[in-house]
Amino acid sequence: MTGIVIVSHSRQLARAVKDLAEAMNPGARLQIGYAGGALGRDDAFGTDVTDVMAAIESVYDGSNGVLVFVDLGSAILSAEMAIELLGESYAGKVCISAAPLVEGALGAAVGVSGGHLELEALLAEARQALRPKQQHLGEQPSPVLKSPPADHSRTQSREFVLTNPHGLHARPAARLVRCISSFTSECELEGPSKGKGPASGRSLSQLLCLEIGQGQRLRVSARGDDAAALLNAVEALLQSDFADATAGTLTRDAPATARESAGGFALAPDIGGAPGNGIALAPGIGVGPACWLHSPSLDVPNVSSDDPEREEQLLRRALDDVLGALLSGKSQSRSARDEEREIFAAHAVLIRDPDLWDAALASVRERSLTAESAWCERVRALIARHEALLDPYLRARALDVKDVGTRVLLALGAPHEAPEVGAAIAVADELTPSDVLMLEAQGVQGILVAEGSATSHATILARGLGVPVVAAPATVASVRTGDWLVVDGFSGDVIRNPDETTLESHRARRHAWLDRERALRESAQRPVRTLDDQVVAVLANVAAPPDCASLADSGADGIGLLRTEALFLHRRSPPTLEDHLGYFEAIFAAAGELPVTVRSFDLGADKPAAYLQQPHEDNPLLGARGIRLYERHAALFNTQIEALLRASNGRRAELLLPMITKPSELSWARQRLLEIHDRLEGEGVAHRWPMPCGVMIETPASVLMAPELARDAAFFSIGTNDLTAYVLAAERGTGPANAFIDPLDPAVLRAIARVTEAAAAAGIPVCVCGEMAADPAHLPLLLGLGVTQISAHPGAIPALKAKIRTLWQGALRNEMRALVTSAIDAATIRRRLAQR
Amino acid sequence: MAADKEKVVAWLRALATLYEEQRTYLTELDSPIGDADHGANLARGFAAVAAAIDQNPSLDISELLKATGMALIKNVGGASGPLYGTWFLRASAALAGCERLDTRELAKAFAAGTAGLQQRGKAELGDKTLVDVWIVVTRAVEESAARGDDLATCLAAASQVAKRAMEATTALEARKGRASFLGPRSVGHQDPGATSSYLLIEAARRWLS
Repeated sequence: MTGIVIVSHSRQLARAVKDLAEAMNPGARLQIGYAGGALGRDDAFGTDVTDVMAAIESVYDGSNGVLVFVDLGSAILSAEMAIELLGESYAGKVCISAAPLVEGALGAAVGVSGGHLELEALLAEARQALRPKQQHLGEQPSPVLKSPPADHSRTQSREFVLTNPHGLHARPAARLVRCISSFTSECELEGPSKGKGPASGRSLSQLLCLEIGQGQRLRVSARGDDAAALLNAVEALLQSDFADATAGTLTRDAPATARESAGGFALAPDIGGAPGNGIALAPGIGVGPACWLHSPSLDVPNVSSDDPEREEQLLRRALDDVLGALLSGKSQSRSARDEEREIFAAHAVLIRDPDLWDAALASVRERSLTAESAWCERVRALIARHEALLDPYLRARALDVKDVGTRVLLALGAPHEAPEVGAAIAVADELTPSDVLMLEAQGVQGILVAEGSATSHATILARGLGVPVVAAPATVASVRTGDWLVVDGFSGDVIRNPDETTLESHRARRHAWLDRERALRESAQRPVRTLDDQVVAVLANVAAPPDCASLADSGADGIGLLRTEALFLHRRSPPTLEDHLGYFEAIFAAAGELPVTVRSFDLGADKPAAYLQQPHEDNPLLGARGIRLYERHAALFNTQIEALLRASNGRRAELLLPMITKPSELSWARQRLLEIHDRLEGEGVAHRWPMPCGVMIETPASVLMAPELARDAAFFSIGTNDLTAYVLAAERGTGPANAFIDPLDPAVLRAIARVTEAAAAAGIPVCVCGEMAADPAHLPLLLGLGVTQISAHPGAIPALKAKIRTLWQGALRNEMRALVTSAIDAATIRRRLAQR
Repeated sequence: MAADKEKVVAWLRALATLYEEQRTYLTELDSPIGDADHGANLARGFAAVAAAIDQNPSLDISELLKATGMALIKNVGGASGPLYGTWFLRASAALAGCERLDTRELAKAFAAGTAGLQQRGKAELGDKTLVDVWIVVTRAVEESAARGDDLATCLAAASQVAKRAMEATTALEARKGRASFLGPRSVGHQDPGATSSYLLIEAARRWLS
């Protein structure tokens, strides 16, 4: 009979587990030994190798082997060592089970008493021991996800508790996938709170199936060369609560308490109003004729093709097209906001999900399905998986899968008439984010859906775009195209075919609502001055055209930092002149009269682009990045400059050069600009000239050379993130050096003071565009040191403007200079700022 | 100069005294990130080692190390029992029949012992464990042996390297053992296992050379 040994730090616990196992198998002749406690005593916790050896020997019958259950830590080591010391005669006869102590031992005892199970089978049995408990408590056992036997020796794991509202829902999950995918290590995630996983860190759908909610644990295991860096990055992301302005605003719209309401809908509590016959999802009043909206069916039957190669090509092209559109922002509305950009960025991750992209291509190749049927099959499977989820919030993500699925289906040429809804009330069973965009572009007045939730991406988009949405399943069924509808996104009321008087009164309400919205937006637009009448430009950091929409809302005085790297990332080949022109034109169109500071591409370091074929660098932050790449990639730089000069014709634009350490780099770039200008002039191509050329101050070298740089630079822009890292010789991130990172360190502030002095002497403006600038508490310091412009993410701008209106710059100048020249640590400075 | 059996006995006895002296210090190190038992465990374990040696005066070098390993796994209680126990047992096997411990023999013992440690604890360099010390020290001892250094030079280098490796654990985040439950909060604390390992090697410098 197979023996069982219980090893615990506590002798009493080990003995009790043995007793329990025996009591639960009355009549069975079990061989159970136990070892525990140090020094053979009941009251000393620990484990003793010789004790474990003796326990194993006592239950070994010479042929059937022994299964050892351990609690943790030294129990595992002691058991392993005991087996080793028992020597040859026990080799292969004794196994240690990773099962939980009590459940595993009971499971094995049942297995042993039930008959002659081999050691392997008993091990497998023990491994399943947690499952009944998980099922009973509603924690599904790990879904059947591929989990190759991991090489634990090189696996590093960390466990986190999710603190962000809604937990690991689509957008945070997408960020997580993006974060993880930027490393080469294998990565798996588990939700130990629910016993789910492992899920591949590169698969959004697998991640979502973990259903990890707020306050629940997430275990991340990574294996590979950059595993530690991966875990650090994940930790940083989680510690930030996936935070940027977007995540905050989105979740604030829909607190968790609003999610569970009868009928699967959710009330958006911030909308308020008396409950009508429907549920208000997005505020506003819509009046117009009804127009039914039907989306193409994903129920495509499986059809075989006789040319799998061609089908694969078709599918690849369609996938590439849709992905390209998602990444470039082409699929977004003219007035896209942060949340919209986030949603489509999540779609871009979703479409690349191995369970969709790879699996569909594999079906085409291996099962000879047509592109259409292979794609739809995968999409339907993933939708079904989402719909089976318990969490209503995650269930709503099925619509995102449907959205991506439909887009690709249309890109494959599926016959579908784009509905002409126009200025009507759109009626649909359910709504995808793309539907909302398409409808808004057509001037839709309102939307009535059968099913929807306050937290679906379509609803979030509609809210941002000012399109009223009401969910009213009972009403929807009876609405016919052509009926007149009033949709009240405040109360949830839907009125079908009202009389003319009612119709008129609701039209008046609609106009009043629109007027009020417009007035609110305009009040944010006032330019900002300090108490002593100094104008401080508050500008926006922007990466891609979609970011520009929030410019108007935020009251930004312009774009202070256009991060053109966005155009270079996530693609296989460098952007062409046409790509650049399209990008710049979209930016300038969105910026309108506002000035735009364009930073030429700052690749390298943490933003590598594969097609640049950069040689390996041990320390890329100190390697070829920013302007250092331009000479080697002169064509790329020339292309960007040509596009900038051409697209900015008649606009307010200036060029900002990143990672400058020497005045000669600035001269080199200005020389290239001049050459391109000459060429365009010769070719008779209209373009902007002259192009003011500024320098990014982010290295100690550029600080020390600021007086010389100021001679030729039109302006300075201080990148405080990198400057802090380089001045303090500490890497950003979560490594040990992170404790050194502090932009309020006097060394950093003295560097900034040197730069503003040099700029003032030369009469050029100085902007601060790092994260430091986004915190209103830092404004007295920055303005006091002589900074004249602030650039931050659009969401931070209203608060920055409000703070500037309370400051007296003249008084700050002496105070802050004195503070920075006298303080020897960041704490002093922080204290003084807090006292203000 | 090579070390004879008497020197090895002196070293092992000295360890009992040393860990008794350092008991409070090691426990203090172990309090914020461990079970606060490292000092007590090692003091108890090496007291048992001293007793075992006294009872068996005729053991050779290999047998002495084996008795040490067995006494440790029997008496330490915590994870350091099987870990140090493994080190001494493997070192013992590598030195079978050895009568005088010279640099090359020492390198063999260190290589075998450290390989055993890694196999037992599944820890790697940088995990903030005693393995951090043993890997670099073993490398130093092997290089020293290859240069043909005498035992005193070799152990002096080993002790110096051990001290640096021990100090370096302070900045690391623990990835193995009880301290790894603390994750980033383990940063800033010197690893108690690395510290007791340094003490062991420093004692070897003093008593073997």
